[in-house]
Amino acid sequence: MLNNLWLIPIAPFVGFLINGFFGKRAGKTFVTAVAWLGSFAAAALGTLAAFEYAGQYHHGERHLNVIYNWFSSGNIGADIAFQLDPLSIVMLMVVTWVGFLIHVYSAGYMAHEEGYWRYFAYLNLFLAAMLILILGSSYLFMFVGWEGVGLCSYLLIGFYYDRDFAAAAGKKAFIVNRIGDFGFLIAMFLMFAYLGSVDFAQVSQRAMGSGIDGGLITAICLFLFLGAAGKSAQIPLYVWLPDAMAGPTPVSALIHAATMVTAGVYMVARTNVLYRLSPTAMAVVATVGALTALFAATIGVRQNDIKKVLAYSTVSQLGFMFIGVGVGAFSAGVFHLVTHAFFKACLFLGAGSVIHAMSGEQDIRKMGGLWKKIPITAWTFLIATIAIAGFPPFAGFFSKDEILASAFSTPYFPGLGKLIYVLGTIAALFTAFYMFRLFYLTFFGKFRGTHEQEHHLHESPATMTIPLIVLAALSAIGGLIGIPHVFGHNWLAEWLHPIIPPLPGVHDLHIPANVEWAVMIVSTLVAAIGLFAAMRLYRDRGVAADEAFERRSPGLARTLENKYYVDEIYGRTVVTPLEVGSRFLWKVVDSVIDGIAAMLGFFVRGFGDLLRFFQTGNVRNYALMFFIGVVVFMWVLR
Amino acid sequence: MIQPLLEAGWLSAILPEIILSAGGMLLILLTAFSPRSRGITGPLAVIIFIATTWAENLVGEGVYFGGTYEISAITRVFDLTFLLAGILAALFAREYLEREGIEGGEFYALLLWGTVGMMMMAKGLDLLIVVLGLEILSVCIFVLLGYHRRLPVSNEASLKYFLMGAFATGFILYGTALFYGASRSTNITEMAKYFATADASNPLLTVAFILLMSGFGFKLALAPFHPWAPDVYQGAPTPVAGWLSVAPKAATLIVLARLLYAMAPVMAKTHWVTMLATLSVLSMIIGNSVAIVQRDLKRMLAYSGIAHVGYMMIAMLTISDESIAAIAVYTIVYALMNIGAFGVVSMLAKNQNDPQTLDDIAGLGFRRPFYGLGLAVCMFSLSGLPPTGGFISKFYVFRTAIESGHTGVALIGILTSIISVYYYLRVVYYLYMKEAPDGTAVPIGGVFATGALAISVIGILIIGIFPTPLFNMAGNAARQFLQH
Repeated sequence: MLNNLWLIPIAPFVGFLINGFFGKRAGKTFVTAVAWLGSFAAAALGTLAAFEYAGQYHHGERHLNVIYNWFSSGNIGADIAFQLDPLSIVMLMVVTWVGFLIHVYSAGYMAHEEGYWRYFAYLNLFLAAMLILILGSSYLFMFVGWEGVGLCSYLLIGFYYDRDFAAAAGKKAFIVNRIGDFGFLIAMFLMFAYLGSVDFAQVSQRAMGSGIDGGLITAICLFLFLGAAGKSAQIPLYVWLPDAMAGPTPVSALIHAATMVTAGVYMVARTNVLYRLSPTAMAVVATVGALTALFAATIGVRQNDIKKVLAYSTVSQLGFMFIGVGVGAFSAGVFHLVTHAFFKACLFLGAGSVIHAMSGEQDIRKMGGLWKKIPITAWTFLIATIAIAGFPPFAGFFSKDEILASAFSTPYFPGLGKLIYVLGTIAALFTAFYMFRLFYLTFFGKFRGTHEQEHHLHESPATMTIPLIVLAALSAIGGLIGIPHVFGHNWLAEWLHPIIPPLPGVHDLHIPANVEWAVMIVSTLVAAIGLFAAMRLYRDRGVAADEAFERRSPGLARTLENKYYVDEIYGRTVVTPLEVGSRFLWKVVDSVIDGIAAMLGFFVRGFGDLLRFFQTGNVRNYALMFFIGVVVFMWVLR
Repeated sequence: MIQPLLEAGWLSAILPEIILSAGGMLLILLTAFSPRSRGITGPLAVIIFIATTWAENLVGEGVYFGGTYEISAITRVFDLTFLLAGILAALFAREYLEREGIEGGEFYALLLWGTVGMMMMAKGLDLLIVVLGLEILSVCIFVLLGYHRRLPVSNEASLKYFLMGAFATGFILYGTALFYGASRSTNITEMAKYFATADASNPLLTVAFILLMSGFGFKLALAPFHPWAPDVYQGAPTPVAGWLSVAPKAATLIVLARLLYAMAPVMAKTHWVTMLATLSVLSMIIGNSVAIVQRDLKRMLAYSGIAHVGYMMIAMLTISDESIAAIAVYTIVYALMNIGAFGVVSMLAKNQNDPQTLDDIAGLGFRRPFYGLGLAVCMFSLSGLPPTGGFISKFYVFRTAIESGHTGVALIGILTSIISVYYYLRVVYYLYMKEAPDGTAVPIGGVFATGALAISVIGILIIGIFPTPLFNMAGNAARQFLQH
């Protein structure tokens, strides 16, 4: 398996091909079987490869599987090669198994949708692209997967293409991501030009070598982070993710929560050598992460669409991950990525189950009292909510805590680190609050929907509830892979340790035991305060609490509801000027160029017509031309 | 008499040629004895081509027949190009001939024998062998062009090619004779020794060079020796036109590369290269600008072919391993895209005496999606857009030209290929943006033509996306070729 790593992404790709070509005519059973098989094969082969890797490499070395020399031109070249190391194995396990669960869930959720085959074809294609992204051995190959997942994201957000909003949301995601991709590309060009390679290991090696300008490293890191901010929805490029909720809910769970959006975090962790060489770039990453975490969490408080709340929550949680990788706690960032994949996938799938039960209703103001009606969904949702809020010993507690403790004790920028810790803790408070608000409004109080909706309320089928249960279990106990040192053995940190090689002159992060204790206690208190406040407000008073807040401070309420008007600001400052500029280019500049081109075309055409005149069709004339040609050459070369 | 044949490896050295020749006779005899078996002659020809491809591997590299016949990696690459062109042409011809009611073993036999001629040209170390191969090829072409014998245009094409071809062969023979007079040999290896020390100011050599280049220029349809091409392509049975526009040109190019390499010492002291550059530049300019005003698809492709040989000639200006590799790859890609394009035209169900114009392909992209797509891919590749093979091959040609200092010519090549995008994409425009006029017949094509088109499309894309293996193969072959 280790020397046939390409089989892993190929499996879902074959599923995509089969469903793409034959799915429309084949029945739903066939489509489902192919899609499940494709994703399951990837998961099984991936697991096999991971075990083989663990048997063969004991110190976290990089396993390289070169398939093919893609191109080599001069001293620039790139291979199509896959690699396996501790980091990619962690990603591989999360992506394939969570991906498989969501494939299973989708069969139930999408059962009555038009374009069932199209959905599964895209979903398989997404999985293939995501696997290329995490298994690729160079930035260039990673970029192939990066663009592939972007394409699938676009296709799936716009899955309901007959709704204007979905089509627009797909476009928005695509365009905003282009800005990020621009950064990624520039970073790659810089690597090609100054480091002479885009291979992960070689880039790290050469960056460590002497004679490399620190400014160059910072530039590469910052451009890469621009790419990461686009894909992982960070300030200022986060705006596409909330709109992306226009896609089917399982897609939101898979692509816009568990896997694709974490690609940026993966990339930064993958590039940890360069980042550690540039504390400036790290400070930028951590600060942006902290601001995003807090900013998105405050918006989450005033959203009423169940998926929108979760979307802002995702943006906020991604901010936490960037705090982690930004302060030098790369394994903590990846750890949060993993636990977030569990509980956020569970929350989204739970939300899907709620929407399913509510006959398509997404507004939590029209829900309420669902606790008894859909118990499995409610229980799993509760577990995931506790996990994200950060109560021990659930998954989110350990990972978020490790990030906050690392921020507090980061050696790279101690002062800023403390500030980031404070911001992160406030964000955690908001997280607990908006999540329990969501939970209470959805599952407690009186049912506020229509009579018909109440009549149709039902628990989802087993294909949907089983993935929920599995994910809830993982949300509950998944954190045990990385418990803090004061309790024992941080298995994940140890596993990931080899990908963070020691650098001369760079201090590594170390969390003192007393800091760890203090942070844990504060975090738990903060989560409890959030829970308590939400319980008092929304369990007891329901929607009335929101209305009271609106009466008390209408300005703030409206600002939050409208997400700080960021979309409007972007519209005024970026989109409109661009449109005006484009119109100018189109109407004025373009017509000049067109005129010149038309004139040239006219000349060429006239010339052609003139030459055609010699084409008489008469052999004698041709022979004469031939002869004249020879004579002229004789004269020229005489 | 038999004795020389028994010398080591001589018989097996020409195994591919033997298979092709015998296969051609077999097809003719088969049709003679059992006229009903006409339908299987096409597939049989393809099988013979494939068997020959396999036989290529059995032939050991070396020089045979007293230093007159060279088999090396590069001749193998070119042999494969000829065979590829033959296979594609035979596949496209199968249903075309059936539809026109002119199917027969002779057609395929002539394709097979023509391929023998081309192989002799590619391998011949003696100019006499080269001319012999050229004549075998030419005779086959005359007959193939007139194969649609009830059609006046087909006869006209055959006659025109014959008359002009005879004229051009005269130039080639005179050129050869003059070189013989100067160097006392027709063997290229011997001539190379002479050229190494020859007096470059000898006017005899210049005249010989011009005569030879004019004759080859005719075979390549290089401007100003090109006017026959549009008339002949237009009248020829369409699959023949596709084959004719590719395979004989490839054979001529490798001969030219051999000769120019042998002459390199003299070329360095004279400005003969001006003639080559002029041929190239004129072809690119005339080919591309006249193609713009053509509405007849076959004539358009004829002019486009003139332009493409112009591009290939850029690499000929300085012979190096890279330029030969670039030409080898270019001819392979050109075989795929040009025969593919002619193949789609051959499927347009229409009286073959009438021109097949752009109107006939209007809306084809929707009426027959695969043919539309295939033609579109061929057009993208011909215009040199990535990710097709056409882009890669053009890129390498221009790069070798720039590296060997012919920046000006390369620049003209780039500019004229920008012009060419106009008429290639116009085809795509007609395929997808034009409504078919009422009563336009849907093109007819069966499994053979579809298969051939699929080979073209897949080949173009694979070479475009993964060019390295092909370039490595051609590059290694070219390096070996230049070492001795």
